[in-house]
Amino acid sequence: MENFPSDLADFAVAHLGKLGAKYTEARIENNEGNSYVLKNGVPEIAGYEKSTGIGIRFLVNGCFGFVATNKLDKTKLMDLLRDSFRSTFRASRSITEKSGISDEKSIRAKEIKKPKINPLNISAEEKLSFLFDIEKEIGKTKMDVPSRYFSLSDMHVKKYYANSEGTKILDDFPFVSCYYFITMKIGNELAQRYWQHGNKDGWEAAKRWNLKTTLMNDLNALYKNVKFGVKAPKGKVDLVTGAEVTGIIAHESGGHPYEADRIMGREAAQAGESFVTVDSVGKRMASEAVNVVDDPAVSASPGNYKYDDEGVKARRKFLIKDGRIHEFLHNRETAWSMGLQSNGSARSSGYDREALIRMSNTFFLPGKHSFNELVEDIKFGIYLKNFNEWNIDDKRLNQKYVGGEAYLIKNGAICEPVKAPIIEIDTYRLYSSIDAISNDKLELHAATCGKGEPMQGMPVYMGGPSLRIRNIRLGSPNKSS
Amino acid sequence: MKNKKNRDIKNSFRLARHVVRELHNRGASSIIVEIADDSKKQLKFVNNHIISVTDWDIETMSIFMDYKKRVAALQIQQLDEKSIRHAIEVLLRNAKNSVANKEFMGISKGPFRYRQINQTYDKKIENIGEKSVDIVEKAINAALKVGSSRVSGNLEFHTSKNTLCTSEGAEASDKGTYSYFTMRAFTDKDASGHKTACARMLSKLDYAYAARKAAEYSVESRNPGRLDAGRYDVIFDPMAFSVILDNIAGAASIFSVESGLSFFNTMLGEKVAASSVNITDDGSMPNGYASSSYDAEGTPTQKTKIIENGILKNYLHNYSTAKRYNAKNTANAGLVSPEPWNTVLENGKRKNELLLKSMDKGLYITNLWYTRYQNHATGDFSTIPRDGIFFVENGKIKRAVKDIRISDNMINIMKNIKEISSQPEQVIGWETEKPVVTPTVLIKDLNITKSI
Repeated sequence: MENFPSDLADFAVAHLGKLGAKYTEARIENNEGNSYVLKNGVPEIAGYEKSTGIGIRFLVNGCFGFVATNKLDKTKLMDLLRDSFRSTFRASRSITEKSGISDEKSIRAKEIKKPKINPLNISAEEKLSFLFDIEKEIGKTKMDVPSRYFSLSDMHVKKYYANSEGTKILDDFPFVSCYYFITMKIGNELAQRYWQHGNKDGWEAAKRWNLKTTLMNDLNALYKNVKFGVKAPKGKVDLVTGAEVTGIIAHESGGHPYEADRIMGREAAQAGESFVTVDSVGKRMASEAVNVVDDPAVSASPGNYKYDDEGVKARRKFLIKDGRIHEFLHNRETAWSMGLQSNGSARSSGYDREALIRMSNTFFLPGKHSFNELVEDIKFGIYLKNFNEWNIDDKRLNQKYVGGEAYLIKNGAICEPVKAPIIEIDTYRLYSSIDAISNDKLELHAATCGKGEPMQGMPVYMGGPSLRIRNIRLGSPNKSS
Repeated sequence: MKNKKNRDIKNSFRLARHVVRELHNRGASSIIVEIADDSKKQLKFVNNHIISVTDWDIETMSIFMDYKKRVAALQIQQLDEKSIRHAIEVLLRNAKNSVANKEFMGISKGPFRYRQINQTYDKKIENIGEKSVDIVEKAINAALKVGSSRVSGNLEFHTSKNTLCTSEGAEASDKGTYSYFTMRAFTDKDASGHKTACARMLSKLDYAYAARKAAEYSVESRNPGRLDAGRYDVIFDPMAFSVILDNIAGAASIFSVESGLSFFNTMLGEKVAASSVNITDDGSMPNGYASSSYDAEGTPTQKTKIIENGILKNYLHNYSTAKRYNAKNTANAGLVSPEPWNTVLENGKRKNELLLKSMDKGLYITNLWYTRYQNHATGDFSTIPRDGIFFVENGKIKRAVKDIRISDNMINIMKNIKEISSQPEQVIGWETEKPVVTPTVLIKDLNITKSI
């Protein structure tokens, strides 16, 4: 991390002020990391990347300009800023509805998270051994697993943020992540499972993932589901979700609809809009049992940050409180539009991307019942432990979840596996049908959320305890080839 | 390199050759050095106004190599002497500490002669500057004139300069321009239309057509109603079918096949589509959004038949995977994963309007969103139609529809293609990551589901 040019951010902020920008912020970011792919037992590649660049956002005459470059030469940067300022000013002349930013406190801070074990100091051999150990574990079983894809990545991020209101923040942290996708053959059937892990933490996090055990559990569940699974029942059932399913529900229809930029139409041609409108705060949309939060404070989580990428202090946001819409996710732009203050939800995937409103760690809060109590009260239903296929429309109103590992519930007991139960349901009905939430410890899972054009994949957590959802009609299976 | 002056560093070819030589002298082989310099401008408009203007100016060096079959790669963004020297040391250290990839068979053997691909560079795009604002304003006005109440989208211009040198004698350089326009138009919250346009030459960027079509769909989709779940014949607008074809081309990559991500696994030589279906991967198409004279190994690009008369003919390969499978290198490197260039579905004979006229009862779908698999190996998936979904009866659009989902199987869809129109469009977009050229397509008996 030598030669970190934080002075260039200060220079850019000052220079745009001279050109006439009303507001300017600059982010210098230095990323250095490694990635490895092990496919079917073969180490495909050891990858390394390093970048240093600057992203500068400014407001002139009610229009935002953004410049990103890695050519860190003051003369070149001045040329680029001059041209961009001209284009932005030219664009602003036809605007009748001007953009602005909310008033926020200026901040001076240093956030340095030192890893216990720096991933950059772990050799390629050791990291590949980490993946080979899982391969060996699969090899010890008698299961036929013809496709096995693993990737492992680490990154050291150092970024310096400065704005024209005097905020200066240095942020320095490690990040580690992995992804796997496995295909198992049982008779003539191919069954698949993928999942990912990620932490804003050092190499020590990789050991906490406990990958060997979780993967063996996945393989055993896949095998049993194909071998002994019964057809999904038709008609109405009660449903209990595992944390992965709770999490994808929280993310897709408990988090995305409350992003203020979607609500205001800013992402209409990209990630879409929302069924929620600007006047929806306070309206009931779920049963009283439901509380959904977005919380960047979860330690070592993928969505963990203290200050967002607009220099605003982050905090927990209740998106749904006691079944009512409570608060939207805001950046300074949407907060200004609605006459509010930002709640620190602006995140960017790198120096070359504008900060957008993003979720951090989104989850249902625990309820009052034990997991057993949720199940005991069901005569006939399904325990949906995890999922494979899912999607949701761009208003976040119609969603589909197809069970991966799933079991029938009969007379209050979890029984035999069930194959691919399909939930296809609208958001209001889904959230209104949650009658109980377990009081288990929060179980949070890593995911990557996509938004923006160019695309920005942001690391997040999603999860929660188990939900009991009453009286859900299951969908019909696809007609396979 | 030690005493070279800055001006030498800026000379991409000399720099690339130098890095190749240095790595070769240190014991590396199969070395590829690529230097890219990209400048890009994007105007984002929301609710009828430009809200932001973004400029990017970014250079990148990518290096690929093996050291005794230990394959390593890097990407750096600082091209000064010190950064490059550091990167070389890291790369060699990583490779030496890694484990041999016994399946790696090397890189393409040059030297090669390259054909210049027509219509891939336009000075007008490189120098677009503030004229881009006029284009956005014209497009917004065109859509509002048709009857939309609000429109949002992007206009982008991109110039890319690329230089590549390999230890196997390939030396290539390319300068390309790209233009992309996307507009989503609304008449109310539930009535929208979406259309994109893309081209390598400014004169071929038909943003006005895209704006007009997006607006027309938004007007026609007013007051959408519900639809019963069931099986329907469906006409896909090019923007919608491009999503399916993007998935088809991705599944044809040998990397997808080996990773369990392809429904074409073990289907080479088998029937995977209706007999009328011919799909080609074309890296050398004039005005092709992904067209390039050479792939990531420096192999000259070509046309490769993926599906011929409904039969799966080829997987997409790079040099190493082709050698491993005793197949022909299709020049689709991607060094780890072969990637499609432009995916082209061959035209049929009749115009779009005749496909509509021939439909007794069915749906006309203009856009798809959020395509996800239940099982990649079988091709079971679902995707969500949006932005102008129309119920058709007796050859005419009767009403707009909302809140439906396609829940079916990729191979089923390809086998159920009934007719392909004679009017192709080139498409990229949020859901179509690699460019696709496709006409309007009629599929029979598609499974439509909805929230229950």
